[in-house]
Amino acid sequence: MNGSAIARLASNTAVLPQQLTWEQAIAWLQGDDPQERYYAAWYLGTMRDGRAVEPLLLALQDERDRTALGGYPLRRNAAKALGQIGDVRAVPGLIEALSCSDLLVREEAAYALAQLGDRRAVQPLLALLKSQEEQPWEAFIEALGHLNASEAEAAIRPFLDHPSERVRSAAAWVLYRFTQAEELTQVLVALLAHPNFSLRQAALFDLAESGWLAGAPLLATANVALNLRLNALKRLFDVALQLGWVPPDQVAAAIIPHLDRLF
Amino acid sequence: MSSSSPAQVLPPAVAQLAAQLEQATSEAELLGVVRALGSLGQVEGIPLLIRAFGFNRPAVGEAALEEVLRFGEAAVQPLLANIDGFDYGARAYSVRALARIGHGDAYPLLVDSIVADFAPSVRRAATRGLGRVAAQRPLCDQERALQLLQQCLGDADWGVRYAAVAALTDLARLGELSLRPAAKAALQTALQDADPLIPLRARLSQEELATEL
Repeated sequence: MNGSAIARLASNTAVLPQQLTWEQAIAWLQGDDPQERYYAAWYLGTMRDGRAVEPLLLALQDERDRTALGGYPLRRNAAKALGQIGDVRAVPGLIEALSCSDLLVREEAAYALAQLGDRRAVQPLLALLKSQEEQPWEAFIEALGHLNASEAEAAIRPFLDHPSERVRSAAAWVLYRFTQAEELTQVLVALLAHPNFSLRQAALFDLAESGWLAGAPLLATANVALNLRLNALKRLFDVALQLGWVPPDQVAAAIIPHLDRLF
Repeated sequence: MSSSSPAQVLPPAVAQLAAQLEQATSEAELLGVVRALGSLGQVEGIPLLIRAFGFNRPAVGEAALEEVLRFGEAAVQPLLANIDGFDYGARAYSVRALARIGHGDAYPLLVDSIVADFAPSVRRAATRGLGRVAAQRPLCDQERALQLLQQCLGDADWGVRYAAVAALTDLARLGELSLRPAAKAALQTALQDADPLIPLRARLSQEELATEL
């Protein structure tokens, strides 16, 4: 490589997040600077230290940090961090956050509850799925999928006709996991060929999430950036292994040839 | 980038395709020009294909990669001279092309990319190619490659670890005989990886090597 190419490569380095000790992060979270509090909530999620659960649960009820539209940015990051930390003491607080006036807090709380994998979240999510007001449907449906809540099948099925492609796609992968009904894969296959790039990308990962192993060739050849296809194939591998519908050797045989061709 | 320099004199057929590439707006038009550049087979068209790596359209990037690969070793110098320092998506395609051509001149770039590039797509591609490329280099470079690939087996990105398994297989197959035991031993350590995909892939490599060597 010539000198200028090295110089250009060297200029292209990622910005590393500011490192905090646990004590600093807690002090920031409990301080007065909204930006520091917001950053600390996110940062504590990356530290995965159970001592942060109680301070984050308090942040999940914060009233000070509000946007002009009434959103709660700190609560959103606190919910996300509680999911990453993985301590089930956060479950009741997160269930309460499912009814927050800020839709983005509800969404983060649903994904966090999915990460915690605690069945106590199933009934509240199922009840909200029947609500008449606007909800983060995609997050609620996906959380029920991750929680293996097959009792939600009937409540999720109407969302296959929802006007939003992303909601339909979420409903399709979750219902496929519950039923393995072949026609559900067609929803995902159709979306994978959508003219809109970000919908193709969403369908790519929803197909991986479904665990439909026969979809591997479609992941490998989708019109999406190569690195995303590799990651989607890897996700399908992980999901198929976890679901255990077929033995690990067959999962490997369905995925590895595609990975080898793309690498 | 040199390909867009107006001072460069291009053969007429390439110049015409260059103009078409500028004017193309749809994916179908872009693909048409990319395929035509490959079929034309003139090395002056290679920088244009490399530019198509940066159009942020997977289908076009992939077609351009295929066409660049048709030039084989003639593409190595244009690829090395036109690495995109800003667009990591484009850079990943260039590194992928160099990894697949497997010419020894790509060795320094692959090593630098593995050690210093921040983009996972570039690091994966560089790791994948290092075995093949290093096998064309003197023993000391092969030893350095082996060492680097052993480190890659401990990388946080599963894709780098997966690529390292494949590259170690290439090195065992194509590199100096004296390195083979160490490359095989590295594959053996990959069997301990906590991600089940990596041991499964390493076992395939071991089976392949056992029947070939």
